[in-house]
Amino acid sequence: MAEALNLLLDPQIVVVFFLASCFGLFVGIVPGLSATLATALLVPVTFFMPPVAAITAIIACSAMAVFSGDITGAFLRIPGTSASAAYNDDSYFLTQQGRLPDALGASLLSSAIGGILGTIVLVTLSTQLAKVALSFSSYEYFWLVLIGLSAGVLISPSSPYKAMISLSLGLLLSCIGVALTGQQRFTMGLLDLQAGVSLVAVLIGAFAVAELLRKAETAKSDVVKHIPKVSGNVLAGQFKRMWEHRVGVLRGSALGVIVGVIPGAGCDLAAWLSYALSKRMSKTPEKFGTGHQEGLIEAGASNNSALSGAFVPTLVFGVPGDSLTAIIIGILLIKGITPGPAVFVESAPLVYSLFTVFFLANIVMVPLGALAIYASRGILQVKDSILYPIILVFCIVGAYASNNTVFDIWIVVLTGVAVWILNRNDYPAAPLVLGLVLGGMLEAHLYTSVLKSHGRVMAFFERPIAGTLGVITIIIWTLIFVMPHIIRYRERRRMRAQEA
Amino acid sequence: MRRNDTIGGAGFLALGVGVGIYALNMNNYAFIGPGLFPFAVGVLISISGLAILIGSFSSQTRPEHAQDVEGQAVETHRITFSNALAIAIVPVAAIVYALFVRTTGSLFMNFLVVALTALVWGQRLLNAVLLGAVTSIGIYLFFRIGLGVPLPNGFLEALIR
Repeated sequence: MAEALNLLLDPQIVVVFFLASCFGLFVGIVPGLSATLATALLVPVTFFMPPVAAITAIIACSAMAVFSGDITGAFLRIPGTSASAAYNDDSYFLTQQGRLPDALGASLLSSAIGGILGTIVLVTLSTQLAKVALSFSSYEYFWLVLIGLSAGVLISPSSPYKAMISLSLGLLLSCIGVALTGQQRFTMGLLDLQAGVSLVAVLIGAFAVAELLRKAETAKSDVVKHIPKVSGNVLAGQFKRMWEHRVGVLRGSALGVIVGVIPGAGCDLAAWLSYALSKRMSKTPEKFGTGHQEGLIEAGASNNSALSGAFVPTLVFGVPGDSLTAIIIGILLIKGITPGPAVFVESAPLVYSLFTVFFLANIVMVPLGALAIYASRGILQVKDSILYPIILVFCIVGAYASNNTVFDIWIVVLTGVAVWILNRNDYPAAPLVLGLVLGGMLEAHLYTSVLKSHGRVMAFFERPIAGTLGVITIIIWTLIFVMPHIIRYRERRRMRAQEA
Repeated sequence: MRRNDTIGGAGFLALGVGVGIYALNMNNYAFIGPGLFPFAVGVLISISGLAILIGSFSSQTRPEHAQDVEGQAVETHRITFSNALAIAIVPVAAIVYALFVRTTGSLFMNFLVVALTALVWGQRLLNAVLLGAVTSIGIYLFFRIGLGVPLPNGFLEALIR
């Protein structure tokens, strides 16, 4: 722990923390730019940083971006990140009523508290789970990775077959390069593909360039935004409100962590579930959506605690909790650090630095977030025609800089255009990235398991934990593919019965 | 019939079959080998593609919508003449950058990409030029000086040195 603190007191880390926080706040505020995009844009920058600085940047940026998405929602009724969408209406109507502290002040404090509580759970749960994970073999890891990938498909709002296509494309991309046996696969004779497809380039293409293309569909229609002036203390009376709603804050934080820990789920799902639960438990559910604090506070706590929760499977098993943590796994792998129980021993200072950064990010979020609220009026009035060209060139240079090759720029373009076309046809992007990040791990564990078992399928279920995880995977696949058909068949029978 | 899904489904079915055959060839048609995993992926793509293809002919459609990269439902905007250029400039600018950056240097290409994109997206010429210049210098300072990343040199970099 002392070594971790020493690492963090390095002036470079302090500067990186501060700049990444400001970057995350800025990106989260702008409509159309998400926490995931902010993280993807930071990837080429973190490429050149030492591991602690890289992780510090990503955590600080993502924690701030998840909160600052609330600011756009409050002023423009457009959620800045998908996690803010759950309570967007309440936030907006409170602001319209002149109750900005009740909207953004409450959201800021509840996010900070939720994040801190989530971090406490992250620290205790991950260290305990790591001890259990030490006994895992390739069979357990195979099922765990498969659960993570399958959960990404289950939770996707798209058709399961389209989500599966997206996932499979990611897995296919992970096959490009030299196989475990040393044979070249899908390289098409290109030297640049022998080391595989650049993860940095695919992340930038899938999350940044695809978003730019989507934004370009409305590029010429710069909307005039009417944003009220922010004055007074945005936190006025909110500490008292947190105490009044302490049950909601605790409940939201707990639910957020639970959802965050589930591989494939994420902050946005946590926020929606929390909002729905708050409404269910409320004495005044009819007020939700009209400018009511209860749901906003609970869901605000939930989405930041989910971010901490998502790090539990990420660190302990190397299975991402959401697309944000998929990017973080990618960064760790680039830095030569393989997530898993061994990382708690081999890179203990890094892990404890990560925990400390989480605490700091959620504490520093309060003053920085308050400043961001005051600065938001100026930020929200920046035109798309100024902002997006800058983002585009940053993407291009970032892609080039990571490997010093123009080939990666081609990857960015191809991935960006492909994901944009896929998105337009309701194919999700997140499973593609999950597949790319986890494909190598899945194949390695599959290979090892098949070799150990001499091709016996039952060997995958013989160990108790592996067997349990295998059954869970089968249940998830049943839910994904079979349940929708059963539900549709029952609907049709019911409608025919009604017509008769 | 949903035409996009028919084309997509058929395309992915073909891709899956192609990947599967390529993978089997890698293994010399044995079970374990470098083609095991790609074969499984090929099967997944084929089955999913077939399901999408069949589903595209179904009269019972589930509501479908475009998505942003976080999976949120968003409005689909038709690609018309007015937005086609704004959309096209994004990949075209990146391609031009990839083709010419080693010849012209990064300072000039950064300027060109930003200025052209800003212009196409509705900025006035002078504003686009200023934005390009400021951004190009900012990126040079950030990547070259700040992070120590080597970027391609060109005639503008030669003037500075």
